[in-house]
Amino acid sequence: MTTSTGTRLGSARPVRRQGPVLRTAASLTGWFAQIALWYWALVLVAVLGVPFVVGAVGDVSVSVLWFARQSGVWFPFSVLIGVAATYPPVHVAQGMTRRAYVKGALIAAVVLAAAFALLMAGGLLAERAWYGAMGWDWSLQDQGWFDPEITFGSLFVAYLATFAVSYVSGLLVGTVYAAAGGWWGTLTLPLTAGPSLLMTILVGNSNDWVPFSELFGSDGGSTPLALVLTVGLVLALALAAAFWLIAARRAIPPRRG
Amino acid sequence: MTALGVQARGLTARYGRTTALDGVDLDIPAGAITGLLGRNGSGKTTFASLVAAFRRPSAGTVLVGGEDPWENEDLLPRVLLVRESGDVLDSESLRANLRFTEDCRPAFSRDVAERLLDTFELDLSTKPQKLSRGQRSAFGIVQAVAARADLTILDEVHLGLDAPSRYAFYDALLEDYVAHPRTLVLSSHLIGEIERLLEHVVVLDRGRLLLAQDVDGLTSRGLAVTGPTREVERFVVGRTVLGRQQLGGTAQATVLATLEDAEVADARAAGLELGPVPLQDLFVHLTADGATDAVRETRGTS
Repeated sequence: MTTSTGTRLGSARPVRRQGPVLRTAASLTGWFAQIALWYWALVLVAVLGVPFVVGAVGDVSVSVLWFARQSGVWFPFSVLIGVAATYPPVHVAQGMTRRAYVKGALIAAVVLAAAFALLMAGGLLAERAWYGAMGWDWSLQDQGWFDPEITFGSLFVAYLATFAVSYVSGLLVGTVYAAAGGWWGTLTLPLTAGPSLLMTILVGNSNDWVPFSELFGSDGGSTPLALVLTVGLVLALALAAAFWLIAARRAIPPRRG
Repeated sequence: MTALGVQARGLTARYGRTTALDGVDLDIPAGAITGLLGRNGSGKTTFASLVAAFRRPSAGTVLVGGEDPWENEDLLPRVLLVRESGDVLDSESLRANLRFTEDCRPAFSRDVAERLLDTFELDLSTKPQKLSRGQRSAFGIVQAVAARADLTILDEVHLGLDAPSRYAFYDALLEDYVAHPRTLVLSSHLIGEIERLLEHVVVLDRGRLLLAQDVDGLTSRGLAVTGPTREVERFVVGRTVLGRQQLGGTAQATVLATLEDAEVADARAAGLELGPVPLQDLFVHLTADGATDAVRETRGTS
């Protein structure tokens, strides 16, 4: 039975003695980064390739990266549903508290949102510069509050608010499914996933139907950035509180199958 | 490394209308190997889950090393429950999983992990979802032994393992336990195999505690008698018989009895061999329907 195959864990690797919150945040971010690399590689191929395809049959005039904002919302949202459903048993089994998981997961969600916002905002401006250099027009279809001259700061903040709400929402959706089962998970989707949808609608809005927008300096057009930010902050905090309350109390039953 | 004992008082766990544990009072001694025994659905896994803070009690208390384990940041890294269902990162390799364990467990031994990986012939680059049932069990054992947690609970971790691998597990566990004493709780249906390891035994039945006792004290309440069938039958008259076997003219009976020296001498003079009672026979007897009297008899109480 006993053989020596010289199995090695990797002697060069030092043991990481981080606190459980940082360890959780670092682990979740690291695992997500592996998937995100594939996502961004696909986005890059599309952003660089599609304009040439469009240019071969007509005029290039619309940002391709702008379309990717929806995938930037819903792809990490889906991954984080899976994380919230499958990771906590491993976390608790390794002797860490649910509190550490909740804090670590929230930090990871915000870091991911910031990274995606940075790449999306930076990418959009880089794409605009590239289109200009190529002699193409650059505009955003259904641009909402985005205007072609928008600054990096405004773009970043709007994306950050949208992504942060979506990613915390993903954690909450997965947690409710895991803690309360399929029926409750589905029935509560308007509350758990609805905020994500609301944020994408607010950002995409170009008709100013949003209540109280005049209090935030609306000019009668798109949703004011200050309102997007305020709603994003309130929703993110509400979702984080719900995530905390449920995830910090949930039992970890044995896995089926 | 300081071994951790467990103290449960009125411990109750309910799943909806089902009561999995019902007012259990028991102590698991620190620094010993305890067998957590019971039939299917007796509450063993629920008890282990409460001790390791996988869930909260519905009523009552459980203390580990004198502290409530629930959300106890200082205590939980010293408590490890490995369940047969396996709590691992399915999308990551065994190497990544073990490194995560190493990062989380302060007493983790890389040497022990590597030795056991060789013993069970596990490939570190494999992902858990690609492993067979037995290999998954083996990986759980690697994590459990190498983590060297002060309280280690192994819940049916032998499932799917072949006999040589199971014995390799018992040997590795015992060897590491002797070198690094800690509290071990083994839940298993293979009582005959783990009996040699156990110092203390807890028996649960239908969510209630049947008994919690040291193994020597428990097995001294009974004995196995082997010899000519007629002599064995004569010996067991008036005694509680736990089991019988017969081969030709030779019989063996397991009975609940504590013999005086004169009775031992008489039995040997009649050609009977006296041996220790197998724990498994006691367990079957204790957990049979309507076995309350048997428990009282086994405890030596009236």
